[in-house]
Amino acid sequence: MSDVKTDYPARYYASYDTTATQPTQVTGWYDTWDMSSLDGVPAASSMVVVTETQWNDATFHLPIGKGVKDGVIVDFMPTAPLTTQASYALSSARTYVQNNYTILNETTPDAWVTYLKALMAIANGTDTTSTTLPTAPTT
Amino acid sequence: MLAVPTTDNVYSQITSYAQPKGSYQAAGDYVTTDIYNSDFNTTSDNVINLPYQNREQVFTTTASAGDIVTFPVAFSSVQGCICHVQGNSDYNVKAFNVTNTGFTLHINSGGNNAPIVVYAKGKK
Repeated sequence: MSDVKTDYPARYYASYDTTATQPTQVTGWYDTWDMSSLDGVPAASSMVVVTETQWNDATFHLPIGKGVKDGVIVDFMPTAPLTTQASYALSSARTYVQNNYTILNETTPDAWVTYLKALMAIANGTDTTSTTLPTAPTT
Repeated sequence: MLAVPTTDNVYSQITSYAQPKGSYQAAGDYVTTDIYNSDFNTTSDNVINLPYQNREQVFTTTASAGDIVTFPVAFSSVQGCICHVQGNSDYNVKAFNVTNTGFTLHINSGGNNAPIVVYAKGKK
């Protein structure tokens, strides 16, 4: 029968996507000795050990802003995928166009139409070559 | 009438005279210090431990649309998670893809650096 202190001798661990390019975001903080069930907990070998000092350090043990690189926890702010960024930008742009042109029964400027179409192509996966979002029209 | 001084009579009289009246907890029928500490002990104000392996977590952070937000400590099983903006802003935020370790933040129409407060409930 397995024993938690044998399987997880360091007690505190941080999980991450072991298949992702590093640095990659910390996806979970585990106090393995204080869990009622270890079902679904990654093996200790696929996580990074967190020292007790780090665990109790409120400036280190954070809900966001930490990643793993070469087995060490580092500062890391993830960037959302371009398709996700495009979806959010598209939603915001649609609201702007509706409020400033559509509900006023005014023609949507070509620059905005072009911008909307470019965002739609990235968001729906049609455009797979862009690496950045298009710049929004100024007016 | 004079009571015969049997053992039962003497005991009854002493009890009636000396012991306050009331209902008393049976000897041993209480939560021990070890059980109390096992139920409630915590090392973080963000983690509230409760009996029967229940745990609540409440914390604040700043996050952007699409960010993965991790709980201070992973649950064995999470039962629910609520996320809301804590501040004077129009951000409309939601927690989605909730797992034992955290969730992904949704902000309507996107947004960055939203000050959020999170409440989550689950099992240790």
